[in-house]
Amino acid sequence: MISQKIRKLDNFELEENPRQIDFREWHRLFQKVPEELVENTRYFRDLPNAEWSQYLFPPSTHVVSGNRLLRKLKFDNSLASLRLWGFVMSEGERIYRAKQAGKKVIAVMGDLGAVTPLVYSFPNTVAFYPDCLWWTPFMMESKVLFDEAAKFGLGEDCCFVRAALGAYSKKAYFPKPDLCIGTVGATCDDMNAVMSEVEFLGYDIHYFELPHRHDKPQDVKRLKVFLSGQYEGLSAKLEHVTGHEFDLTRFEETISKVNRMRGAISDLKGMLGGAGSPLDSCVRRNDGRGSRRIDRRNAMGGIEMLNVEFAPLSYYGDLDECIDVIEDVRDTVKSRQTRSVGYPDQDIRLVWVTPPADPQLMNYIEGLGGMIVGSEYLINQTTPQILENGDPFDSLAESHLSGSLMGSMGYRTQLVIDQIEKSNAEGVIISGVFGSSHCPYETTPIVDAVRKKGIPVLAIDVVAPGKIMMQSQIFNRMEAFMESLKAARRYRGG
Amino acid sequence: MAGEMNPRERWGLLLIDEFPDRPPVYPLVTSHASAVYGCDLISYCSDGKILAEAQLAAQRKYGHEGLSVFTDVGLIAEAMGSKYHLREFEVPILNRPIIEELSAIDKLKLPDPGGSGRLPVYLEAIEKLYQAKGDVLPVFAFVPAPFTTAAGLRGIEDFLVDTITEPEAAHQLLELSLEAAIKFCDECILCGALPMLVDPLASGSVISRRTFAEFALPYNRKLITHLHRYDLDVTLHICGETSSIVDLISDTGADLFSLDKLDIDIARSSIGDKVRLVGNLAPHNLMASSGVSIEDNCHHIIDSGIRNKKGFVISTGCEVPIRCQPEKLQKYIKLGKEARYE
Amino acid sequence: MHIYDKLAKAVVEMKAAEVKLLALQVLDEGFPPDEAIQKGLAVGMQEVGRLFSCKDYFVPEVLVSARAMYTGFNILKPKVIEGAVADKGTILIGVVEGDYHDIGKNIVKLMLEASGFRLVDLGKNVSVDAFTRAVVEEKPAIAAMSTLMTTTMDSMEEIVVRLTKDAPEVKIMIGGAPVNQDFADSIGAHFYGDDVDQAIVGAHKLLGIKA
Ligand code: B12
Ligand code: SF4
Repeated sequence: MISQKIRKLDNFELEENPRQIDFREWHRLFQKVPEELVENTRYFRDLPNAEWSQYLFPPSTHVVSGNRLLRKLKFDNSLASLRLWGFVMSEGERIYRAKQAGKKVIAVMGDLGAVTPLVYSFPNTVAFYPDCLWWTPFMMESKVLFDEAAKFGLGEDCCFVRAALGAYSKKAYFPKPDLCIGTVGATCDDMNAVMSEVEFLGYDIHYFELPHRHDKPQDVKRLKVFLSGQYEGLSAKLEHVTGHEFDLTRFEETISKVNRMRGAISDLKGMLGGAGSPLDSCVRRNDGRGSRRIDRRNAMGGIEMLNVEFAPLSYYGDLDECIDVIEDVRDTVKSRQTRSVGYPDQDIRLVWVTPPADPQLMNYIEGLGGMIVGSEYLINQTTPQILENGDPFDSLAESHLSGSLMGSMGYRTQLVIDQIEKSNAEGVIISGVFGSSHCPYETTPIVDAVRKKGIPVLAIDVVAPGKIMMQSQIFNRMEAFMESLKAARRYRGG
Repeated sequence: MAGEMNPRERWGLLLIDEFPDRPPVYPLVTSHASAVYGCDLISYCSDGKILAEAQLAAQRKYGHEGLSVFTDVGLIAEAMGSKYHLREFEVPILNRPIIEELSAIDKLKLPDPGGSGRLPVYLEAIEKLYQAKGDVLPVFAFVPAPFTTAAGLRGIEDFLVDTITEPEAAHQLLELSLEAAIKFCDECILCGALPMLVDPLASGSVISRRTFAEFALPYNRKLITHLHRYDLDVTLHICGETSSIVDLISDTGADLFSLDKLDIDIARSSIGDKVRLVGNLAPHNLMASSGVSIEDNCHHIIDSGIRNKKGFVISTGCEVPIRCQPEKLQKYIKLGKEARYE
Repeated sequence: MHIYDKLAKAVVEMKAAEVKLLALQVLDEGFPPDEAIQKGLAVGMQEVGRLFSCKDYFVPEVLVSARAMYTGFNILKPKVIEGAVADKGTILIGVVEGDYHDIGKNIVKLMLEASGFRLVDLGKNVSVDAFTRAVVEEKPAIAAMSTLMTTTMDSMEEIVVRLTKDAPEVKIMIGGAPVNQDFADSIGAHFYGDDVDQAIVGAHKLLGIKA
């Protein structure tokens, strides 16, 4: 019987000071993790005899299973981050196990803010986010999934999200979903192309229509009514698939959990964004070679935060465990900030726009002294609190309306500007996907708007794995960009 | 137009109890790769680059579904000081054990995976294979298990005698062999390989169930427990006859058991609900001189193995012979790939 | 219990120290050493062979019993008056070239020795030339070969061809896991044995003597 006791790590630290370490160092550090923690860090705690459900492992475990990129990454050295990585990397296994244990597996594709909470409101369901598989080719440094998608005509002129199609076709990355929910309407073309190919493969897709959101307040009510109807339709479908009726008590319980997690993520983003400003919260220290400025430094890696921010899309297949995992990360950051510790030499404040498919890029910029204090990953519909005792479908609809993908270009640009102002950013990085249709159109207006604010921007196109020459060009541009930000700081008298 | 799975994907599913189409087909193509590549065994065993190239050449030729880094069972003992004789056309063989007198045990040092003996050869080969094919093919590092290493340190017969006359010294030697194996496995994992423990001397052809339970099992269990901290599936290979110990195999914690001269039905009924089976076409069937047809022989193995509750890997009982007949191996692999779960 | 039985029992129970004491006692008390070897040590070793065949004993047990047997043998042998121990004949034994598996061969050798044959051991990895030369020089009654690998079976055939030419009078006996009666017949070996018991039976049969 698996212990239900250990749920939180309580800031158990393996090393006193935060730093970023490679997978080899994690392998060694892991030896210090007490057996008890390894034994008892488990998903699906509702299943009593799931001896396979441990997930606290060093990245080297995942390297062996083919994730070659992990050999190049630097990871945060806290136990909370290790737990986060283990949890995220075990998602594939988890959804297979879910199916084996008789849970209903539901794929949620596209811009699906509050759809996932509704899914988890039905008993014995597990959601996963196939779009996330766009990271797989990068993690494996492999073209396998892209090659597979190309067989269906989705090649380099489509977003990396086409990897999800490759996975659907290969039937080796997730079990056959009991239901796929996909968005249509005001969403992304590339995503839609993927979805229609998935449907051709014979999967059952329930389409969820997103209205295009206007920025006029008087329209909001109309849109809300429309979205609420969509949620109602989806609820009926879920009733059918799961064989359970919609249950208000269960729904409210789920929403309060979801809010708890959303709150933790907002806290985290707030803490990192507010971790200091380029000018006022720095201290000077004389190290013998003249006076040097030391800022309050980065307290959590960009790639770890990427994992955190994507959690609410599917809760990585286990809502309860996901809450603990994320709260552990939050507690770690809080404790680090209380102790005024962070990664050495990372203090140039950056906002990152559009999630990079290649996590190495984030690592790289951090290595050059950057810290990511704000982000706009087209998923901000997943952070606001959902009204807990209003009409269920209205509440979901309302929270969904804050989504950035379904909004206008102007709205999204404004979100980026807000992030910059809130976090005192010194530079902005926009990572687009070469060949994709949706995001790139927004790059130019965002660049313009940010420049108008006097903030330097670097717009890059992430390249598919294996294109080493092109990747090194990106690295060069990042270096130059960071140099210019450092120069700007000196000029400002920092 | 459903996609064809690659070996990595198929193994991945097997390891989480999913049985989508068919078992992986992974005959133990080890030193035979040198024959395919056209190199002598001395270079194969002492140059990681050649070992890797040869493995890739053999995999290209046969299309089997895993890469094997293996030279000989003396690997760790050699790294700890025993002398092995490398030969051009046969695998290395123990020349002179380091522990001729038991009193020398205290002076024994743990090997340095980066520098002792031919351990770096393994690591280099793993790196190269992983870099080349790690996204589609699993790489297995064959690591001698403690019992076999201890025998290589002490001399095989002397060690077997020690288990009766000097059990404490034998345990001391086993402890050291265990530590060395842990150290080396750790490095293999870091380079990207899955450890496969090989324990030819713990065979039921050589030792009794009692000796196995006292001298081989506990150390294999400790080693596997250590490896399980990484959530890795560990394969244990024991040569020869194992009917007397098969039920103890699950006690070692091994996730996969690679069996040799043991009827697959026996293995299935004894541990098949806990352990995945890997096996077990007798290697000599692959020799040109063998009169029996591959079809006749693999029939029972595949039909029975495929029904194993915890899963099955279509393989050979032991290493594919260096000078096997390629057509026979090709035939076996083809038949293996045609097999389907019911 | 008679001292010979005690000797045999100590061999079976793998007690070298006890065998040593008993052997000294044999000499002290004036028992004929050759009789002690045959009715004590050899009987013990035969029991060991039986236990091995029925899988009560395995290789380690056999090796330890053998070592116990040899402690007694080394004490008693020098005291034996020349000719007192029946010398059933010389057997030359070796593992063929390319093969280093000698556990089986060693056990066969041991048991033959315990049954009263004189053994010349060429060891393992013995080339066709070396084997033939040794037979020509030693002139054994029987030449015995062992191999555990299919890859090295062929050199058995070569040896048989050479021996029929260079030492036509020698009887040839082969064994080891991959070889069988068909193979023995096909290469012209005189006897195939599949375990120690068979090896002993065969040696007697080839020389036309009783066990
Ligand atoms: C122990 C062992 C080893 C030990 C050997 C230790 C030693 N000093 O002997 C070590 C680990 C070093 C080893 C190494 C290798 N081994 Co190995 N090994 C075995 C194993 C597990 C047991 C053999 C044994 O000792 N059995 C116990 C003894 C008592 O039995 P026996 O030898 O069969 O002898 C009995 C009878 O055959 C008979 N007998 C024997 N000789 C004679 C002679 C006569 C005249 C008569 C009448 C009777 C007779 O009586 C004996 C007593 O009953 C077998 C598997 C198996 N089940 O046989 C593989 C096995 C023999 N090994 C094999 C291989 C491939 C190897 C290696 C190439 C592997 C490697 N890459 O390292 C090397 C090669 C070394 C070499 N070139 O010689 C293969 C041979 C394949 C083949 N058919 O060609 C086997 C069959 C395993 C397999 N299934 O693949 N091995
Ligand atoms: S193009 Fe942009 S919005 Fe569309 S799937 Fe790709 S990343 Fe998402």
